[in-house]
This record gives sequence, C-alpha cells and structure tokens, in this order.
Amino acid sequence: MVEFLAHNVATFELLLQDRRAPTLTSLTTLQYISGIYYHTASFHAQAPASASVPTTKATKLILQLLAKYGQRRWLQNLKAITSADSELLTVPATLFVPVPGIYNPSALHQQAEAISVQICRNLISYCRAIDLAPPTELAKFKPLFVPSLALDEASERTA
Amino acid sequence: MQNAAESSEQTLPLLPEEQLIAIVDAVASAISTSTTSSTGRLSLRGHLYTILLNYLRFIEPTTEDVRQRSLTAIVQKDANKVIDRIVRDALDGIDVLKTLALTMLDALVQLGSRASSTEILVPLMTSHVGNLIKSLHDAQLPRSYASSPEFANKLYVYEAKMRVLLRLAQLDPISLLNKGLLAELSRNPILQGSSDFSDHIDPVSTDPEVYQNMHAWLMPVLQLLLCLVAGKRNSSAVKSKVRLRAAVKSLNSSSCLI
Repeated sequence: MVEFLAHNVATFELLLQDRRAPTLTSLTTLQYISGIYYHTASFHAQAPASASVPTTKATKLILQLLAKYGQRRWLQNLKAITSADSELLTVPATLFVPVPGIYNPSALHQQAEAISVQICRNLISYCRAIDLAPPTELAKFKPLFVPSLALDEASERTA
Repeated sequence: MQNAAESSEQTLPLLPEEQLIAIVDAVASAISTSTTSSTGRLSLRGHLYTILLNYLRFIEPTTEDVRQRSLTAIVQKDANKVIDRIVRDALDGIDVLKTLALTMLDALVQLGSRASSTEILVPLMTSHVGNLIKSLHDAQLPRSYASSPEFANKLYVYEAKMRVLLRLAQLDPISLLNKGLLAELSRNPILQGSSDFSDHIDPVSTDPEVYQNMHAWLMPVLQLLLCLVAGKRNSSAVKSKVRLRAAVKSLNSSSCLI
C-alpha cells in the first residue's frame, strides 16, 4: 500500500495541497485521502529507512490542512457545485455555531463542517501515529506535537 | 375519498407465501439456465434481475424473516450457476445489463454476508473476483469527462463494479489485494495524472459537470483504498489480539503448572 501511495504521489499531493475553494466533493475527497494516510501511517513508520516513502512532504501538507480545517474561516469560501448542493444552500442549518461572515448558515455549511471534523480527526490520528512511531524510526521525523508547557533549558536551570 | 383508498389497500389480496417463493425459485432457475446471448434473452435476463432485486428490496427490512431464509436457500441451491451467469452478464453484457447484473451481485454479496452463506460468497471470492478486478482495466478509461449518455452509461457500470468490489473488500481485503486489485487501481487515469485532472481541480474555473464527473471517477477508488487499508489494519490488529490471547493463555497454563 505504501508503494501504491509512492507510485501515485503526485495526485495525492495535488489533492492534499487543497488550494482551491472547498466544495462538498473536494471535502469528501479529502476525507478519504486523510483516512488513507491515517491508516497507512503505521506502515510508513514500519517501512525500512531505505524505502522511498514520501512521508515528509505529505506530513507538511497534512499539517497545513490541519491548520486550515482546525479553524472555521474556510466555511466562508464554500462553493455549491451540483444542483443537490444548491438545494442544500436553500435549507437553513439546524445545528450550527455562528461563524463571522456567514449570516444565513445552510444545511450545506452544516454538512461541510461535519465532513471537516472527520478530516481533522483523521489528520490528528495520522500525526499521532507518526509521533508514536517505534524508536528506531522516530529519528526520521521531528516531533509534530510538542507539549506547550514543557520547560525549556533556561527555565529548567532557574527552577 | 382517502378513507376509501386506504380501505381498498387494506383489502388487497396478498399472494400466499408459498406461491411467492415458487415464483422467486422459478426466476432464479430461469437465470441459471438462460445461456444464450440473443437480444431477447439479454433483455429477459435484465427483467429477471430486476424482479430479484425488487424482491430483495421488498424483504430487506426483515432480516430474520422466513422470506430471507428461503431466498438464501433458493440462491444457494444452484449458487455456482446463478453467480456464474450474473458475472458473465456483468462482464460481457451491454451497459444496461452490466449495471443490472452488478447491482444484482452487490445485493447477493449483502445477502450472502448477512446469512454467512459460504455457498454464495466462496465462488465469488475464489472464481470470479479476479475477473471483476481485471475488467476494471477497460472500465477505467472514459474518452471524455463531459456529460453525455455514453459517459453516464460508463459511469454507472464503473460505479456498480466498484460498489461490488467495495462490498467484497469489506469482507476480505487480503484476498482482493492478493488478486492484484492495487495494480488495476493504479491504472486509473486520474491517479496516473493522464487526464488533466490538475487543470480541472478548480471548482470556480472548471465546468461544474466535468468537475463533478472527474471526482465521481476518482471517489470510488479512494473509497476502496480506504476500505482496503482500514480492513488490512483491522485484520492485522485482530491477528495480534489472537496472538496476544494465545500468549496469555499459554502463560496462564504454565503459571498453573508452576
């Protein structure tokens, strides 16, 4: 599977870059891709150091995605593509925490946000899996999640 | 007026159970014995698949029903022949028949997995899944992603085929991987970057139909890949748990000896 990802890396990275306006379709695509990366994270970590696994760039893109979908600003750029999307735009949202700039939240926004939560869940799980890689392979990666309350050297000395 | 309609619905005579099952039995045997490929026969088989599909939908909500068991028994009776016929139509028929046959296969896999029927699932997994995977090669190549009746037909067949493979991947991902599914999925023109996907990824500047059609072509591949990796991971997790349990068991037994 890791070889499959490596073979088709250009398309996966193109989709992970996610530079265009979000749509329900693009979000669903990201949901699947983030799920694939999450489930293969342990394979990445177990792969021998010699294997050409394009993990580093993917990890960078994944962190960018996490920063993007961890907030809710992207919802302002959400686009309706299909007629089904346009229908959803006319249905008011039933459960939606207000976002500045969105005055009439619709079922489309609500559905898109639900997918984005799943995307974030996959992305965080991927990062955790990479962080928790076995010690022999850990050296390949910089830690992604660093405890914010950890003492730095200076404060350790004064403590 | 409404009351009159309701009361006439209530008084509609129901077909006795035995007769209904006899009809379904006749339909299943008609499918297994129909071997010719004349236009009339193809059209007839299409209708037979539709009848069985409608019956499956009719009995779906009641999983533990006697109807469910009788249908499983009917299909199991001649499972090899029925499945062989449906797979042939799914691979060689005209597009409409292919879609119907694949939808029928999907329904049979559901029926087989619900009833844990090896008679239905084993021939599919051993004899036919390889051919279904190989047939992806041609199915994956649309001439253009612009909406047209030709594209729609190809998309319906492709989606129905991917749905069957997805259903089988949920049951046994390792078998599908061993039959070369990944190699076939690699040939998907969007994954290979040979269909200008990068030029059509912007929903603002791309024709909405082309944008949607391209994603419709890519989405089942991603869904199948996700199912394969999740299934493979779960099956290895299950194996580890089994190994762990065995280790704990042997440890317990050895500590008992001490």
